[in-house]
Amino acid sequence: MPSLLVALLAALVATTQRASAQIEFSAAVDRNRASVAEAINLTLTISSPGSLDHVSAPELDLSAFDVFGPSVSTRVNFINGRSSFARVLTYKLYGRQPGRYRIGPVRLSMGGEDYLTDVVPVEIVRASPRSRGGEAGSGSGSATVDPESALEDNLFLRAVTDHDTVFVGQQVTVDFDLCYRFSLRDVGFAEIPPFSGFWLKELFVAQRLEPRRETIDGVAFHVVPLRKVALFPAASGQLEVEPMAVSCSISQGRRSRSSLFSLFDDPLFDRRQTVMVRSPALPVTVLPLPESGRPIDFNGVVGQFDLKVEVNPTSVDLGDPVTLRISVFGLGNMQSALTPVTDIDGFQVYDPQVSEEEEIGVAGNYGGRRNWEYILIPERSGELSIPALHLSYFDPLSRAYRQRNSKAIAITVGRGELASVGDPIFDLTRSEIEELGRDIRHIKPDVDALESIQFLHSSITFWLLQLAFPCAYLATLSYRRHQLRLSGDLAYARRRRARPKTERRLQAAAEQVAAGGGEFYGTLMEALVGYLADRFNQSAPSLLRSRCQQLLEEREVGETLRERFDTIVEECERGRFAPGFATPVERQRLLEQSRKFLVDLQEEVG
Amino acid sequence: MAVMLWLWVLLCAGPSAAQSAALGLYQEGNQLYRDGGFEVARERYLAAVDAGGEDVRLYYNLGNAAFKSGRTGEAVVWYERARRLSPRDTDIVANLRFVQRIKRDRETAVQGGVGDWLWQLYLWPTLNEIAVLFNAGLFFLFALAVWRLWYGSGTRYWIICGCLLTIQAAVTSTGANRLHRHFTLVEAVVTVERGTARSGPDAAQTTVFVVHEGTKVTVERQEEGWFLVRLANGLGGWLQDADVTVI
Repeated sequence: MPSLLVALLAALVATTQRASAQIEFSAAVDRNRASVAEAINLTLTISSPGSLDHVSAPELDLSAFDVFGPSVSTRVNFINGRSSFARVLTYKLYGRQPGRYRIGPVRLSMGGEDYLTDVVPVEIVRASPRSRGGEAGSGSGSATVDPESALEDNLFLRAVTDHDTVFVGQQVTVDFDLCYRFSLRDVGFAEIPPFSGFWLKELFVAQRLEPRRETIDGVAFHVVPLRKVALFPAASGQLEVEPMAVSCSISQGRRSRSSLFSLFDDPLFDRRQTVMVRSPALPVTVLPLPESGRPIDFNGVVGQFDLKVEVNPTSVDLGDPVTLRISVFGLGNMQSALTPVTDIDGFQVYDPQVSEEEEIGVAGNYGGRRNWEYILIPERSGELSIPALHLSYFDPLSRAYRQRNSKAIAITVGRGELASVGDPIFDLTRSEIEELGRDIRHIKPDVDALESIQFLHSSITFWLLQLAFPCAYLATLSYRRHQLRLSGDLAYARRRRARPKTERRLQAAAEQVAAGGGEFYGTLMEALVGYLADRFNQSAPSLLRSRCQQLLEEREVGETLRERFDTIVEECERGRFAPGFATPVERQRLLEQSRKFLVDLQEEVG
Repeated sequence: MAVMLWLWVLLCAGPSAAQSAALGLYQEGNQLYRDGGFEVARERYLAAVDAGGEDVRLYYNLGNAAFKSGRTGEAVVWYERARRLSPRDTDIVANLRFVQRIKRDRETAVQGGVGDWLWQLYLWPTLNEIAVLFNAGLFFLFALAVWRLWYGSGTRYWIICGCLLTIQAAVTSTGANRLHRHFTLVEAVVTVERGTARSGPDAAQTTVFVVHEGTKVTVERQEEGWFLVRLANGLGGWLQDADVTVI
């Protein structure tokens, strides 16, 4: 308690007054000693009997501190009928490193005169003043932590790197975790390090506290991942990951010995104190990339990558565009991957459209894909070629340079019209075309004739066609059966063929009428007997005249018809053996009689 | 014989003369439309229809002229008539969709999914295409039957027969259904700005709903200058026949 009083007294006395002027300018702190986590409130007070409308900013050097503020307030006092004005500027200071510091003298220029405060000494210590016995307490007097443990032992910001020695361009992953054993509120980033010397990629930034339990040096902590960054050193040498600062408020409330985590949980009597924690600076040794084995076309790509080249189409007309897509993908920083193509023989190469897709692996490895899409216009017809492309990179895991190569791609360019330079061949920007308005589609064009509506179902032809298929099937079926019977039933086949066969024989006999020989009668006889043989399925050579008569009788052929057959056969036999007995006219008559007989016979036997 | 020949010539010459008159009016309407005279173009197209023009392009262009003249309902009527003749014409479908978007009443659309797909498939062919498909199916069945007479039948034969019969059954049932729809389904479009549907065929009856120009309805009955119509959402009511035009 005595030390606290001393501190207050020192703060109040640390003022200066300029007796020669009405204006008074003073500086004071609420404590002269604090830990790096605790705030020192610096108050600058400007007092004047007149108005303080135009006050310039005081000049003060606070580079040894993290500064918040100032918050500005103005007071007006009336004492014995006289008014006075006071403007108060309050800064909240957090010491960055333990040590003794001097604040001031602070200079204020006003009304052409300078006013100076006295120097205010402060001391920043590692441990909490209260936890160290309250040597220079702020006056609050209430302990916020267990006296046996320092504030920083219960609340700290941890920074961890996955590598402390890397090559230029190789990823260093830094995790910033807030470790605490208090009930925290209002956690916020107070200072984000600039990460000088590194190309930075944020991998994770916490949006809310999601603590996990972790035992650190045998003590249980809540650990919250606050930030995770991927750093890619730009140059070799000894670099440093600067500290990151986080502010938060902890309870100044009652103590509890039962549990560390419920020490300040009672919200009814809770008083809170804002503290700042800072991560340690982390040294990183950056090695230069090896000179030996470095490819000529190496341009600083470090990681593990692959190369893919596609061309579409591979056959075009002269003047038509060809799309060349080049993709580099893998793990590492691809920002240094340069434009792979600038000139290709035989093609006009337009600036590429570049797109990137980022990927973050489970272990925080940064990578992704970088795509270049070129539009190429062939400048001559024939067989052209996209040459093989190469990608050289340094693989830090194997500590060696690697190269990925694509194959040359042949493109056949046919004849076509090459557009003149400057003609808008197509939209190289490849943006979506926006719809500006809508309307109905235009009318149909003029025609040579109008079509009339004709429904097939209202046409009689359509319905007749439906009958045609069954009829056609029945006819086919009948024909097929006939065919099968012809091939399987000899009697039927002979009967069906009897008439045409006889017609051919009669025709032969007719041609022999004028000849006058015996052949006519032979042929005619053959026709008649052959007909009977086929019709009644008999063997023709065995059919004598008497047998023919018997067959006709068995088929119940009429008497008259049998007699007519007998007469014809008799005349034929006579004519065969006495060729000169009949004239051609008589032979023709006999032929006609025979035809008539056959017709009548067919009608009678069916 | 000479009289019959003359009759034949007259029968043939009649439609041809009407078609050529309609064609002239159609071309005239097109030119007027291109010049921006939509109202006059519409009159020419209507005259072409009166002259016997039944072409799908005439109906479509008439729908366009009606739409440009501010007759949304009439435009829908002609687009629908054109679509019945050529259901897959993209211009007709696009313009109908466009009019659907700007008209006041929102008709309940057919829900998506398999049902919608089947419904689109059902409406996809024209009646003539179904007739050709039906005859083609009959021909192939005939050919299969004839094949069997000469070459007999095996498992493959009966599988093909089964597939063909299934297709033929689907075509036949679709055709029969479409024919039934063609002859029995009466659809109409509201062609006045605001039509009041009542609970009975009388202006004194209770108003059951109000429809606006361009809305398509199904006509269920007709009675003394009134149509009993049904909306796509199931609502039914009596509209005066002057308020709607049958498609």
